[in-house]
Amino acid sequence: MDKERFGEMILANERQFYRIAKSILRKDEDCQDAAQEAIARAFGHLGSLKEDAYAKTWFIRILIRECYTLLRKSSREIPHGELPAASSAADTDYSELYEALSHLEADYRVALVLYYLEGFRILEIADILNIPEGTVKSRLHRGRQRLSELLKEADS
Amino acid sequence: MNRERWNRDYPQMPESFHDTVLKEVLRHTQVSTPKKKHRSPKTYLLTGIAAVFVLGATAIGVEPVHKFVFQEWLGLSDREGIGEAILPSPSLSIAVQSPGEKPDYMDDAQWESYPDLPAQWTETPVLSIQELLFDGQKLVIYGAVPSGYQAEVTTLFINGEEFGPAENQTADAADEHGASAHIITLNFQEPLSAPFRVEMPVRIYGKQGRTHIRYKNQDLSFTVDTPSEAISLPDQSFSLKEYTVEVTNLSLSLTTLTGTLSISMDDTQKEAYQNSSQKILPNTAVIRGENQEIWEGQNPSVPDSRISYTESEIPLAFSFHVRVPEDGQSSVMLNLVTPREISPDGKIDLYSEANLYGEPMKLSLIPN
Repeated sequence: MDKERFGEMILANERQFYRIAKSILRKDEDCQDAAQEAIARAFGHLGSLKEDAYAKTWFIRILIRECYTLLRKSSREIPHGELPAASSAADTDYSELYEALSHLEADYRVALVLYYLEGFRILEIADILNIPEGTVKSRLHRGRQRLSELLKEADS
Repeated sequence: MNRERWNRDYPQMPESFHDTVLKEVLRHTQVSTPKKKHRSPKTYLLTGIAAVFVLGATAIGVEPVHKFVFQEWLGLSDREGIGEAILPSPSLSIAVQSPGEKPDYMDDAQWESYPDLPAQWTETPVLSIQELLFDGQKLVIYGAVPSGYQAEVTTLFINGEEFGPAENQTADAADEHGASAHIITLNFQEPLSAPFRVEMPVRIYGKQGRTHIRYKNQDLSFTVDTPSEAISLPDQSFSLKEYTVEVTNLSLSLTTLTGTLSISMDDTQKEAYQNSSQKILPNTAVIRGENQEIWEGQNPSVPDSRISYTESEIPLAFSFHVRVPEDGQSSVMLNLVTPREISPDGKIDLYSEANLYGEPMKLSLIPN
């Protein structure tokens, strides 16, 4: 795939990339940094992309990796990839759903967002996250269960 | 779980995200695309502060100059066997001429607003190329323009073919004489073999008080070449939790680092891998293997792909190149791994893209 077509693919799917990054990183600035780094990395390794058809999932994989890297390296370290339980005063006012989601571990958040928001199939998620299908299913199951509990708590 | 609710309640992409993505994509798609030879009316930026000069248009003979920053980072600046890229001699004559010619992007009124300047010559360099680094796919030109002058480079020609616009950067720091440092970066879509010829048309401006003065356009030309000498590095092995990496046939030259990689597992590592819930082996997408092995992750639907991988000793040849430094930051990009930094003791961290444990692999660049 040439650079122009790859660039077009990124721009055509940027909304999806944002939402995936946002499942791991809470701050928009961090999402931007991760996306910027992922784009640079992807262009630098574009020659290793063997099938054009895999370009999007290949990039998502790089993006997720960058998000995790940023999460780990952030000076505003959040233990175990877990987002803060409560938003600070300066933080954006997010929806009940996103706040509840933020209480889950990052691995669960990504799986849920890829499945419910972005509509990927379990096999595709397994490919993107480099984990067995069974692990995807268990993350979805536990994540869904925990998210439901959190939403109920919020409603009550 | 209601997907409609997800769409409604999940944060929407801010405009700033779009701006960042667009800017980054353009940075990679516009810079590296060779173009047909034509004159663009758009002036591409370049340096900063005022003007002058005419560069000795042709490099009359080339000779090595300067110790390379990268070489020093590696701690190899005094080591024989690693050559230097070849630059034009800094003693090339540089002069200023005027009046200049009206550039194609100016209309008559604009051009007439520029005052004439008496013809003059100066031996003072008004644009000096201080360092030039080339790694096969990227060329970085470090230059300096003294205070009171400004230079613009709209495009460059590589072996006669227009290549541009170049990616220009102006460093914040000025040297002790007030000269500003300028960096021009060229990213080549395909690897380029040295030697090659670079022609760089430069527009020069000066400033006297509040008056800007336009000088005649000048071309700077030079040849880029790199030596072929390389040194051999010792074989190295890294035993990680779930696989062992062996790097052999390592060879280091000024601009490239090449070697052969093989990955293997012992019984304990195989067991750890098979019991792992996370994939930790490298992904095919980042490996160019001669045998095009199928790795889990690239094609999970292939039966027994994991088993095929765990067979011991699948050699995967790989090559990687060291990207030249920009803005003082080293960056070494490999097909398989990304060294994050070069340490003072001559080691680089090999960062395995898929090694979720983040286990360090310190590849030594010190020869036997």
